[in-house]
This record gives sequence, structure tokens and C-alpha cells, in this order.
Amino acid sequence: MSAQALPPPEVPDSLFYKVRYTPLRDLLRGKLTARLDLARIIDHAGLPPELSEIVRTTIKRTRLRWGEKADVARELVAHFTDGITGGSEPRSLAESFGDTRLAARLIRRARIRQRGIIFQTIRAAYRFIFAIIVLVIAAHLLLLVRLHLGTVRVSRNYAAELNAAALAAPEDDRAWPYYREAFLQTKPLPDGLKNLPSSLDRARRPELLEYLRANEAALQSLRLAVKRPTMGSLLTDLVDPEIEKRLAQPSLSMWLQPSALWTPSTRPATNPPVCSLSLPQYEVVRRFAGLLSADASVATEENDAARLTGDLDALFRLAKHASQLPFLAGSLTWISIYNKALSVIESTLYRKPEMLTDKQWTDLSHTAWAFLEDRPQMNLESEELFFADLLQRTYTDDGLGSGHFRPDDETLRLWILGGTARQTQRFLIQPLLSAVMANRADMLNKHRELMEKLRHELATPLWLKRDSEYESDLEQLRKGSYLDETRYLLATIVMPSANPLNRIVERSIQSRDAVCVAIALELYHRHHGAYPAALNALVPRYLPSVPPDRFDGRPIKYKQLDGKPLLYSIGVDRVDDGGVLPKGENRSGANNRAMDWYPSGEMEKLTDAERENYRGDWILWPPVED
Amino acid sequence: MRIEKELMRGAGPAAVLKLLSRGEMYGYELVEALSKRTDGVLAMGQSTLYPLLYNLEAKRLIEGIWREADSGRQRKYYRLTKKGKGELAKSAKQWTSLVETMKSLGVVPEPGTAG
Repeated sequence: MSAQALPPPEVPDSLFYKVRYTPLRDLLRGKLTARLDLARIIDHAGLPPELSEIVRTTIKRTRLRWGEKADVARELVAHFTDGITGGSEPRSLAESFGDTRLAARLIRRARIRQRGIIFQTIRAAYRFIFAIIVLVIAAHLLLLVRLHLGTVRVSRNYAAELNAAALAAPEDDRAWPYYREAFLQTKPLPDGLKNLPSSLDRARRPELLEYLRANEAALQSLRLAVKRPTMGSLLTDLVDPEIEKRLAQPSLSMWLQPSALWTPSTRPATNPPVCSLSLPQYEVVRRFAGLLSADASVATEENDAARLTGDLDALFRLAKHASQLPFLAGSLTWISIYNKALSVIESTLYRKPEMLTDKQWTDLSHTAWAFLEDRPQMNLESEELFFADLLQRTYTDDGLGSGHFRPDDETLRLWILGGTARQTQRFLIQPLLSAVMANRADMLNKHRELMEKLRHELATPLWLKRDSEYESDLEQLRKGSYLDETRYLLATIVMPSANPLNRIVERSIQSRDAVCVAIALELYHRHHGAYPAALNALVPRYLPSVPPDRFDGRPIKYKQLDGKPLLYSIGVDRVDDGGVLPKGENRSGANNRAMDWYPSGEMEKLTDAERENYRGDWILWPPVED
Repeated sequence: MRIEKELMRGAGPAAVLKLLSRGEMYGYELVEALSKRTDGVLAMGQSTLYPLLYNLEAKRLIEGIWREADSGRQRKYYRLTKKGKGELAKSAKQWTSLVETMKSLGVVPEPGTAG
């Protein structure tokens, strides 16, 4: 032997020592074996120091559990003891042992394989989770790199394109500066009033008259403004503080409302995002429509035909100007102004038909008819420009018409992602969103496809409609799985619901048709001393043709009740109930229900009880009031 | 001659199983036997032997039992299990087949021919 074994160290015999080094199993059996004391196992074996060191180092490096270490240590000690007993030199034994690091690693691996199934299961689960985490992190990093590849290029100025028509008009032809001046002259509603009172409300009539008197200057300016050939309003991302001050609620933009996250700019951008354009025009013209309509109703009460026809002419001109405003909101604005004009005509015709001459009624009928032509045209082209602008600001440009989603623009990011636009969330969510969302070309194609379907729906008369392919497509995209919902997120968030639009379009047409038929009946009555037995008698002298009932495509229903004409549509239940309103509520509420808009396929899905609420007709003439 | 690591990985367990088929043995005894009976060809350091034994134990091909030896010291003796016997038989077949194949290819010379 090249080295002498050291004498074994003293072993404490305290209870604490024994308890500390006794495995739990032995303790439970009431035995204090202290067999886990590695130092004692190794040092008490009487091995030469180099062999003790090999055992100690190997055991330490195994990083096994205490009991496993003790087991291996005992075996290695036994091995070396056997070697020495067999006559081997400690050095030779040390050399033949091999590398302690390798031994420790292999022993650890082998002993871990010996552990129980619970450990193996937990270990496998940990490994699996770890692998998943690594994969997710790697995938996320790849997506992060992908996100930052490519460049977002804002190459087209869509705001300028939207302004092109207004800019092309000579400055003096533009009505908006006049509207603006007129609006700044308007006086607020009397205290406590949210809306203008009806001219028929005798109790509030003095307040209405006072309000109109206070706004006489504004009305004069307004009458000048409506005479301009074109609307001529330029859209910018700036706020007009004077206008905003007079508007009760902010109308900065259809999409972006001032918030803690976004404040409007103070300098005009040369190429602002279309969604940040300030659009006070809609609210301004709506308020003017209210003012003109109130003035017209007072003119009717006061038998002032010139003032009435002047107001109606102004209302139609105002609607024409509003029709030049971009986006669907512009279309809805002009249709609502047009409907106000129809209401004034309807009300006058019912209460004071004698106020206007044959020619005046005929002219009004022609104006109302010609204004809508076949159907109100919705401004979908500017919606497409809006979407193209959105794409160029939120997608990279690969030069081939495609790219991936990356909203660099802070304002747009806030608009699209909302709260998730914060820095950390952006880091986590945007790469994933960018990978899941359709590429630029696909997104544009999906938007075009949806727009085409919407156009088709808006061009189809109600009686030909069944289930809405557009609505079901949109529903599927919006309420599908997370992936479906996210894939075409941009296209779906900007697309409107078709049903309310259809309802507005169809009601406007039917109201227009009813007013024109009612005027024709009035003129027929004047000339013949009685109403016709059938509407065909009005054609062609008083009407070019009998307009259709929007719910069945057949002529509007007509009958006489107590010698007075009754015009009606079969209504949403698509059954002719003989001109009777649905039951319940007040008359106006019942009539509104009867004209509610459901494609026939949708109506069939209602329960019997629900359908009962719609059983009745939509009364078109005489006006139905509470 | 030392066997290459990859070949040893296959031959080592079979050799240990075979040694244990004759009766139980402890670690040092196995080291000695492997070295002497194979003329050092399958000699393996303890850094390889003990992990190999633990692996065979984990696969339940052998079992280790601590017992007091004649010298009065504690030793861990290994013996073949029933599963180990089956594995040895399978292994023996495979080695026989391999050797036969090597012979037919001339990699292993037939007895009586020059190598």
C-alpha cells in the first residue's frame, strides 16, 4: 500500500446525531441506524486517503438523494476494501476506477432510472413542460424577428384623395364655410330642453317660436349655404374648437374619440390616418335639419306656404350636400335629413293639404321621388379608401401587394389593440397577432369580398331577401374560434351590420313611395271630388306607376276607411291583415314593430309568441301618431 | 486489446449477465472476473461497471442485496432475476447470430484459418 489508512474520526453518539442521519423509514420502525452519515461510511472504512477521496468526490458529484449517496458510497467502499484485501495497490485501484466526474454522471443517471414511477412521471412532466416552454419561447422569438422584418410604407395619401373633390370646386362654390358661419350663429336650445319641441305641442310652442326667432340670423345664413353647388368640406385631423364648443358631445372622428390614451393633434398632418379625421360636419348638418324641420312645421301652422316650401327646398339641398360627405355615416346622415323632409311633407299633407297648389305638391313629389331614384346609394367607396389607408399603416409592404400586420402608428395601434397596446403586452401579443392575422393581400381580398356582399345586399329589395349571406359570413368571422376571429380582425371590425342599413334603406323608400302616392291621391281627390277605387287609377297622370309594397313586391295596399284613404304594407309578418296595426303598446310603437326589418328566413326562426308581436300591417298613410 | 466504447455498450451488459448466471457476485468480483476471463478485453473501470449494474437493476434484470460476507463486512451481491435470464438468452442468440454473420463475411475468421 502506498498510503496508510487514517484512523477513523470520532463519531458523536448523541441522539440528535442519530436522528439526523437515520432514514425516515428506519425512524418509523423505531430504529436509530444513522446509516446516512456519508462521512462515517467513508472515513470509518479505513481506506487509504486517495481512495477515500475518490469515493467522497464521486458521491458528492452524483448530486443524488442522501439515501442513494449512502448506498453508492457503501458499495464503492466495499469495492475498494475488497481490492485492498485482494492485494491490489491503492494507486492501481484508483487508476482502474477511472474518471470520477464520468463515474458520478453515469451513476447519477443510472440511480435516477431506479427511482419510482411517481418520480419518473413527475420528471417526465417537468421535462415536457420545459420542452414546451423552450419551444414557445423559440417560436415567439422567431415571430418577434419576423414582426420586425419589412417596412411599413405610407405611400398614398387617402385623406387627400377624399378631399380631392372638395378641393377641385371653386372656393365660392363650397358650402361648408357658410355652414360653419351659420352654425356659429346658432343659439342654444332653451334651458331644460334636449330636443326641439313639436309645433303641435301647444304648451311648448312659445319656447319653439322664441328659439326660432333667436336663430333667425343662423337660418338666413343657412339658406345661403344650401344654395352653394357643393359641400366642399375639407377633412383634416384638426379640431375646430369653435364648432366643438357648440356641439354637446365630441364629434372629432367616427373612430377615434379623445381619451387618456389619445389626444387629437394640434398641427395638421400632411398625410393623416383617415381614421383620425375630424368629422363635425355630420352633426352640424343634422342639427340644421332639425332647425329647418322645426321652422317648416311652424310655417305649416301659420299657413306660410312660401316659408314652408323654402324650408323643404333647403332640407333637400342640405341632404344633397350631406350626401357628398364620405363614409357610411355620411350616407346615413343625408338619409336622415331626407326622412325629415318627408315627415314635413307628410305632416303638411295630412293637416293642411290646401296650403299648397297642385303644382307645388307635384314639384315636391317629383323632388322626393328623384332624390332617392331607385334606392339610396350608400357611400361604400370611401369606406374602401378608409380600409386601404388602414392597411398601408398597419401592414408592412413587401412590394408585391402583401406584408404582415405591424401597426407602427401609435394612434392606430391604440385603436386596434386598445389596452393591449402597452409596451409589454405589445412585446408578447403583437408577434402572435401578426402571425395569426391574414397577410395584407388576403385581408384586402376579404374586405373586398365582404364589401361586394354588402353591396349586393343593399341593392336587393326586401321582398327578394331571405337569409343574409353577408351577415352569416360576418358572424362566422366575428364569433368563431380565436383564430377565426383574429385572422380577419381588421376587416371585420370595420364592416357594418347590414340589417340596420337595410332597414334604413327600405323604410326610406317605402316612406317616399307612400308620400308620393298620398300626394297623388290628394291631387286626384281635388280633381275628381273623390278618392279612386284603386291605385291604378292614379297612373299615369298622378303617378308613373304604383310603387311596390317592400315586403311582398306587389303594389302598396290601398283601401278607403270612412271615406279617407288608407295606405299600408303587409309588414314584417308578410300577411295582409286588412290595414290593422299589431296589437299592444301605443299606435306608433305598434307601427314601428310592423315595419321592423327581418329577412323572411329570419322571421321563420321566431317563436309563435314572438311572431304574434308582429302580426299586423305597417300603416303608411295617414300618419300614425301616439 | 480494448473494445471500442460503442461495442462495449452492447457487450458489457451481456457479459455481466452471463457472469451472474453462474451465481451471485459482488462488484469487485465482477471486475476481476471480467478482466481475467476476457483477458482484459472486456475489462471495465468501476466508473463504468457500477452505472452498468445500476442500469441492469433499474431494468429489473438483476437485483442487488446487501449481505454480510464471511469477512464480516457488508457487501452488495448481485444476482440474475427471471427477467434477466430471459434477457441473457435473447442476448446470447443475438450475439451468436452476429458472430455467425461476421464469420460468413470473413470479419471473424473460421476456427483453423489464419486471421
